[in-house]
Amino acid sequence: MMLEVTSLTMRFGGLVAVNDVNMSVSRGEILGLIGPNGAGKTTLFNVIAGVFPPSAGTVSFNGNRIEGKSPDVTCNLGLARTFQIPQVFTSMTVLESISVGAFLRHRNFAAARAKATEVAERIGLGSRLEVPTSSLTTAERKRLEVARALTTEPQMILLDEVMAGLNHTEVNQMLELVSLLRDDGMTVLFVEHNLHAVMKICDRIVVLDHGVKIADGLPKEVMEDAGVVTAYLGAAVSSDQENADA
Amino acid sequence: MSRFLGYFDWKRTDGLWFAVLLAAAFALPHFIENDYYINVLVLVFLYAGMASAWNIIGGMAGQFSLGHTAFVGIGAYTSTLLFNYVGVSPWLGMIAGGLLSMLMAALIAYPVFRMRGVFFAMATLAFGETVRILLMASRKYVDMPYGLSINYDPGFIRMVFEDRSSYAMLTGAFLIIVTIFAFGLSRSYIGSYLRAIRDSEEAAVASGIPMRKYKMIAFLISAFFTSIGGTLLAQYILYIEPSSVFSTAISIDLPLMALLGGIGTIAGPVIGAVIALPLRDILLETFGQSAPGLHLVIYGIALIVIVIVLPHGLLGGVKSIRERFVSRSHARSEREEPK
Ligand SMILES: Nc1ncnc2c1ncn2[C@@H]1O[C@H](COP(=O)(O)OP(=O)(O)OP(=O)(O)O)[C@@H](O)[C@H]1O
Ligand SMILES: [Mg+2]
Repeated sequence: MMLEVTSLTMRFGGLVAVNDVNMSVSRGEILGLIGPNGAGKTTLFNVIAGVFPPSAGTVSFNGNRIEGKSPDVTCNLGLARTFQIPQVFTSMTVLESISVGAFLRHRNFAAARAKATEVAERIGLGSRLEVPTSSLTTAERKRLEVARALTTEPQMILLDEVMAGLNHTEVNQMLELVSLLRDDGMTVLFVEHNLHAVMKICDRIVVLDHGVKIADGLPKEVMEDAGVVTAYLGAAVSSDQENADA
Repeated sequence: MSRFLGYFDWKRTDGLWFAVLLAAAFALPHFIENDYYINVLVLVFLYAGMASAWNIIGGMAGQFSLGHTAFVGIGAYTSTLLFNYVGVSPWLGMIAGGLLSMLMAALIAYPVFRMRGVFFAMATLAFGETVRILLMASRKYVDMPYGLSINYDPGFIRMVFEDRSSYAMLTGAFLIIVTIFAFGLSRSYIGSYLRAIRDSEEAAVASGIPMRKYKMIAFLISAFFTSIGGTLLAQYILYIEPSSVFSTAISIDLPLMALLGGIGTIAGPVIGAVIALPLRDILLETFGQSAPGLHLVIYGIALIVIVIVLPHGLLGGVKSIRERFVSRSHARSEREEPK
């Protein structure tokens, strides 16, 4: 197992954001994590990445216990993450910000730049290297997030809604990118509201609702699960209709 | 050596800037004869060096310290006490003061780095005040006069000089060393890490940066060089007292100069010192006698106006004007191309 989460609970005061969740991701797998707004997906990411120590439970990465370790330590161990709301280095150019990730493994300047350029080109930011990050579009910022994470040369990457706010073409580009990662043997845990994308790319799906895991299985099985349909798809279908009406 | 150089991002124009700085620091003291101007030059070099040292933690790493006078004072007091009471050369006392300042910085780093933004600034301000108050209180237990004079007995080993141009050379060398250090940092991965921390702590940590460690590195280097400036100040004035070297005015002047020129840049603090010190002097000359205190009011207003008009300092202003011209000429060439 690459990642193993056992009986994980995260409380914020009286609120239980993640409630006794068990979950595992095996090497090379693409696992989709879905659930309605406020289900606790980002919180689960934050606990795995080390932003918060869990209230209870454990997280193992490659057999090492990592719960309570800080995010820089987990990143160094090979677990990278993106942010749902892109966190850009506003004073830097695209190349400079991607290089920040590259310095983790390459302290030599030319080597870090080469690594950053290589990743930028794969992510589709190759023509934007000298642009200040503040002038990037939403789609480019999402890609920048992925690029910064990838330059740290992780074994596993946590993607938090990298497709939110993107148009149809941009979503397809991002999907292509994730399949490229899969071909490289990267393990991916990704949170997504776009169910088409999730169905298309994931090997397996885990569903959270109010912090509780309510389903875990192959995409097809999960979509047919009665509990999931009421908890999540009901909401999604109605919001899809809202979108269609708009 | 080439392996060491590989850690830095060199640009072609770097050598040129370095030559300009070197020429300014070593040629100016020889050309300027007038005592008044030499005095201004010494203070500009000294404050530019200390503002550059402040800029490493305050500008590059974005941790807006308002307590740097503590390091100035520790530097001035350590070397002066060691010289007056133990006979240690200020050249060594200066290093001892620098190390003591680093120790102090390391001690307060744990509590203050838990705070961000304004809270960090307030905590460091309190730290600067506390050191002064502790020093004044200590006179109850240690036999020490309020002010300390350094004997006027010129000699290289005693770091006391007859002519001001020697002080200009000394402070010029200080400025050059701090600038080279800051420059090297900013062009290495460490500078990149510091900017990342300043821009987004979350993303910096998620990129594998051990944040505390790099904030600490920046703080220690900053404290060390600021402290060296404190020793040089003492050797130039030849008199120190708690309220002169432990003064909130110093704590404010250093960030102010960095802000004026361009915070977080290498040249910014130097440009800021070049403007701020002579400006204050000219105003004092003009209004000092006719309306005492007015010069400070005008100085304050002038600074506020400059900061409002140029939020990124003079360097930022120049950059945005240049960008406007470049984008305009781009637009023009694009419009002309389709013909
Ligand atoms: N740092 C925090 N402090 C307090 N409460 C928090 C914190 N982070 C998240 N929460 C709460 O935990 C719950 C789960 O939030 P979380 O962001 O994990 O949901 P999510 O599944 O990612 O939702 P979305 O799809 O909207 O991104 C929410 O009720 C949220 O308000
Ligand atoms: Mg979320």
